[in-house]
Amino acid sequence: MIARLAWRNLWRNKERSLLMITAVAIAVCAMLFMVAMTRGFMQGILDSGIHNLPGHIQAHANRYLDDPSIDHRFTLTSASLQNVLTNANIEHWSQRVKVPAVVQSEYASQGVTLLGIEPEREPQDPRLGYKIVAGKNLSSDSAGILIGERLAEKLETELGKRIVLMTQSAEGGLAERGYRIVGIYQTTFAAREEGEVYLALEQSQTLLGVDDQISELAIFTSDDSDLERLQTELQTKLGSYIDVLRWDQIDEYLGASMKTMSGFVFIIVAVVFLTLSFALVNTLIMAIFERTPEIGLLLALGLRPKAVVLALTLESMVMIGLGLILGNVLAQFILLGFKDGVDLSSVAEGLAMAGASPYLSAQLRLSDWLTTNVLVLILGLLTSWWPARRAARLDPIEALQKT
Amino acid sequence: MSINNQPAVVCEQVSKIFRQGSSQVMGLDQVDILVKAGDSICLSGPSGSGKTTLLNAIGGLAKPDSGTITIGEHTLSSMSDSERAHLRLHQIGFVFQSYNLVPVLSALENVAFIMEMQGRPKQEIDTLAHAILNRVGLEGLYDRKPGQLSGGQQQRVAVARAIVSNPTLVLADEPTANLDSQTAIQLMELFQTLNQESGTTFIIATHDTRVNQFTNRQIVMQDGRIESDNRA
Repeated sequence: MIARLAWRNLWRNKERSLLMITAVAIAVCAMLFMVAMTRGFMQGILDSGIHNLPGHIQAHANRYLDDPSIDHRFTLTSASLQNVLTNANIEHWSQRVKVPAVVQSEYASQGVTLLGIEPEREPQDPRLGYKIVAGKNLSSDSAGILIGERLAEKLETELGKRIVLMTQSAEGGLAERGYRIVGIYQTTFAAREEGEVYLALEQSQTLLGVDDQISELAIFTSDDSDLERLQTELQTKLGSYIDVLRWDQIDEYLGASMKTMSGFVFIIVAVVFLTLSFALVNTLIMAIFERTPEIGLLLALGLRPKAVVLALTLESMVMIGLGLILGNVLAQFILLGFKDGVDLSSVAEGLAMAGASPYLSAQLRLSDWLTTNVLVLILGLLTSWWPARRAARLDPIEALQKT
Repeated sequence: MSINNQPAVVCEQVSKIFRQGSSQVMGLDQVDILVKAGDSICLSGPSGSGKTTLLNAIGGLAKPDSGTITIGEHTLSSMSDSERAHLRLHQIGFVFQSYNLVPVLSALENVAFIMEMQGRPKQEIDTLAHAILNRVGLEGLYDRKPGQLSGGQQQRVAVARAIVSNPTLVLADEPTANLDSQTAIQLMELFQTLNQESGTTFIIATHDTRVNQFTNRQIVMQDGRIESDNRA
């Protein structure tokens, strides 16, 4: 009967209840949309950080991160490689040589990072702004070099011309060799376009005289929710002379930013709902004010105050629940439109400065969805309980006399 | 009329003062009443004489400033709010001055509500609620909301609600106030029948002198005091 009473009371003032349900729905939809877009923005930054070559997990020889020279290199035995590859969570992996170098053209020279890569294993995501603007991408048998468009401009060179690459060899001497430019790439990240040049892995190993040794092993996973377990597993398999680190340990700033933004998202959600809660409290107070004699009657007839609190809270929670359902459905429809991302390349430079991709896509995790809905229900319960409790404390006689 | 010597309500030196700013009004002034089980009392007196205040005090809705009220074996002053609510729910039927029905519930649901709160089985509730509505002459109007009923019909629903769970005590405040004379007489006849058949104790506060003929005891109040107490 309490539930029936709550349901019927809800529809006593249809306009007001519908308005409140709509307000809750819009607020919930706005919250979910905001969470999804913020999560998408964060994911964009994360993808840029992880997929612009680095990887979810990296392995280096001890001390490489303090001194990223060719002195700190390692070899992957085939057995350990097999072990790595058998892990179901690993989407793909790649070996790299990564050392500081200098490139020189006929007109200028520039300090860069030389990356010897396995091109087929390093898919460059065009959604992260990477594209070949002249020539072609590297392949494993390429003998040439791939450089960024900005670097080409600095060096006053172009596709097909030769540039000289100088770096420290494995023996400590100068390794120097001329390479023909086979491709020029463009990305939204200016620093990368100016500062990274690419050779096929074998070419770089030959230049440095390191046989099959590498500086870096990058692991990409399909599920980044349990990286710690994978990290531990890999560390055990690769041995103690290798440092296995997660992306948030390698780029601590990025890791901290992600955590901060995650927390910030839910602060926004709480603020939006707290604003809405004023309207909710007001609606319930109005409903109680209008029904004061009735509440007095129920109390006079022997209904316990707890039952009055239950009836009024239930009424409010039904209203919030309906708004919540409507808001979720609405948000799902809206977010479908943003699933493939919005092309923000017109402001790509600004996004690149923030480390984000020029494509902004909506991403809503199950945990985000659950947290938002649970937060709304908890806050709704709290904001409903207060006026309901006030009503339950009414003096039945005074309440009955208010007509 | 089945009168026995068992006290249903005992009021001893009950006083209630209403304060408005610096002025005080004596709502009840050292009222002593012994109501026996099966009594049917007409409580009359001018407006402000303390009739409603006394009913509210007996019903545990207003706390006296002094004195004690005992309902059956329960002394109200020693009971918590929750215990008094439980007592009202299970032992006292109320008919208030205005109709006081829950507007979103049908006539049947208004009557069934109390029994549901008492935790009675659904089938019993359904049977009793239909039967009592038939008895007060509202057959076929079960699903009507209060807004779809006349004043007299609403009052009869309120009476049905008050007596449906067979309370030991019914407190009625001006039950005939908004009724035409024929409906008022029908209602009082119903009270009389219930009193005689089931021994339910009735205390009826009223200005309506016609009520006297349907009760076995007449109490007149004046300025918060019992002015006269006559048994027929």
